[in-house]
Amino acid sequence: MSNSNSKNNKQKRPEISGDIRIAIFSSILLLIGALACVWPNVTMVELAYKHQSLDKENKKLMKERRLLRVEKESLQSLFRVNAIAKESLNLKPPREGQVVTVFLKH
Amino acid sequence: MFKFKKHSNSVFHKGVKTRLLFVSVLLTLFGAGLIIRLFYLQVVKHDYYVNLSEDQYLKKMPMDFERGEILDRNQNVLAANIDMKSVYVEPLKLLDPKKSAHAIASVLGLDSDEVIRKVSSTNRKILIQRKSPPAKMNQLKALGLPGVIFEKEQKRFYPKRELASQVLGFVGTENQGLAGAEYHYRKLLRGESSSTRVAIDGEGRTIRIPSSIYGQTGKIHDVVLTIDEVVQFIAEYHLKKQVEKHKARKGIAIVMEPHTGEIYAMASVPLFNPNNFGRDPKRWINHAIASAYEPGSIFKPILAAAALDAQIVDTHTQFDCENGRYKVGRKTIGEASNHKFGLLTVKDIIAKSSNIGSVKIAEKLGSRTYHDYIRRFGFGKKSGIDLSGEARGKVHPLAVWKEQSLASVSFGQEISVTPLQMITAISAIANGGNLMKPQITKALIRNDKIVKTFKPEAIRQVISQETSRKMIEIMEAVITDGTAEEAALKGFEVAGKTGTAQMTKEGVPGYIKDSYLASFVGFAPSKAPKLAILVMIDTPTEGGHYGGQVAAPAFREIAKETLRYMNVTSSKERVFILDHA
Repeated sequence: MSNSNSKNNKQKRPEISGDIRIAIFSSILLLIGALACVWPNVTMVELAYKHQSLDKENKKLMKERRLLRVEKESLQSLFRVNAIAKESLNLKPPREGQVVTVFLKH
Repeated sequence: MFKFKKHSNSVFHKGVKTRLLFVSVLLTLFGAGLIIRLFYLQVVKHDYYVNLSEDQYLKKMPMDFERGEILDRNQNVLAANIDMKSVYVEPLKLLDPKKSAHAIASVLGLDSDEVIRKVSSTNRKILIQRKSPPAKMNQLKALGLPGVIFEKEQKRFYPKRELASQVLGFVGTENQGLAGAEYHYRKLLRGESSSTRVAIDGEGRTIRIPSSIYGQTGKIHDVVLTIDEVVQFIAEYHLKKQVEKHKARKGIAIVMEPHTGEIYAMASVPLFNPNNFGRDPKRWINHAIASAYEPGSIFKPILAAAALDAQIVDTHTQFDCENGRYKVGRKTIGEASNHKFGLLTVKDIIAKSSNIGSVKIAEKLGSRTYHDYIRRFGFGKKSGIDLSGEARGKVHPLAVWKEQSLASVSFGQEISVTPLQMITAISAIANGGNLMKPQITKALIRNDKIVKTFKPEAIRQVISQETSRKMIEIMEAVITDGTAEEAALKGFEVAGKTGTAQMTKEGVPGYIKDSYLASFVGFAPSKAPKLAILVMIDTPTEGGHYGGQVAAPAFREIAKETLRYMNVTSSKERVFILDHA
């Protein structure tokens, strides 16, 4: 009798664990599904925050770059360079024979 | 009993029926009310509620596309934008208006009374100064005055200052193009402001940005000119030097690539600084395209080219130059500087710039053919260059030519041409006979990519290649045996023509005494021209007034330095070719 009971128990156990398994499996699937739905949104929001701060930095750097570029162009003004060459450095245009042209073979 | 029952039953049914009907009507009315409300909310007030909800989770993100830049052919910046700030005051927020006004006025260099008047206003916000210099702005910020606010604006900035100022032009306070390329390309260069809506979180941080805004630059283009910064500087520098040396009223120089019509430099002296363009509109005029002059003797190559091309004469055909006096109708033609020439060939007529010889060639050529060639060389109509304010010049119709007109036009009188038309025509002689459309714009850039390139445009073949070759030979003689020794370049063969034209004044008959236009037009190296250069000096008052004396030296210096810059070596120069390794 006891033998047959234990046999019965052994036979019933897998049925219960099977239901639980299905329930757990379903829950996991549901969780994954939910995460799959939510995750891109969370990532997108995080990326948007990051984008915003990078955009701010980019704008600041672009502004600085533009100013430096204009300053460089301004300093390279040939009227200014010519005045410095002649007045400060006492440079003079080359005389005849002082110009040598060098071509580099590629 | 039965009767009563029947009666009470029917009364009962009737009562239920009435009540049911009443409830049904009520329910129907309620349902209808719901539907009407739903329609009202969903359809009639749809936009209102959508906006209301969007206002809670969307915000406007400003998108400013600044004015396009102007670049030279090597993409050096000629016109750019810099961020500036304008100063405003909110009078109601000022703690001590008078004291604040004094402080603001002293930092910004304004009149104290004027600032006090402004801050005493009852307006919510008052403009004190637009686009203030950054240094002053920082000084003002450091004062920490309450009620003083700063708003970002953009200012056009020309980093090369006077360089190519008449070509570039300038902009007004609202950054609108007012002159030069700034005006001509106003639609392509114009900055834009727009906005897009982005989703925000509870703290106002952006959480979603529409992908459509990436890489957007609006409709703004950067304009790349054919001008070369270095060549422009060379032209301006030597032109200015010559104008100052001869105490002239003004000077014009154009450097053109004769095969393509690309303009490397276009200078008008006196220059002006477009960053602070002042109040003298005369300085803003680009005389190279907007003014027309009687060309004088630099027009003689056009006559010679026409006569050679029409095969009326050859380079060695001789003409009697009448010993310096020749009568055409009632007018007596003489030579410049009272020269007296006898028999001269066509080549010598141009080299020595004989007026009588020119008249004789023109008489042989005939009015109709000459007039036709003048028009074919592009005189009397706009060249179509991409700049505003181009003059047409004046070529009288053949029907109104008088008895002496043919003679006058043969040596460049009774006709007016713009410097640009002149250099374009001479380029056609230099390049084998093709009249090229003068080009000032090389490309358009949008979003850092070249979106349009302007290709050289041949208008027509004006003269044959053979005529062009003969003309080059004739114009070389002007430098070697003629009036333009000063234009000679050591190590290069140069071709050109001098001109000394008497000046006229609009509305005043005849010529102005002692007022001349000294000019030189030429190209180098003559057999394979890389450059065509025109120099005009208006009313030189010291050190001579002839084209060969005043304009030719400027041509020589501009040509010498530009050819060196372009790595075109002279025969006198030492050249080494080195292996890269």
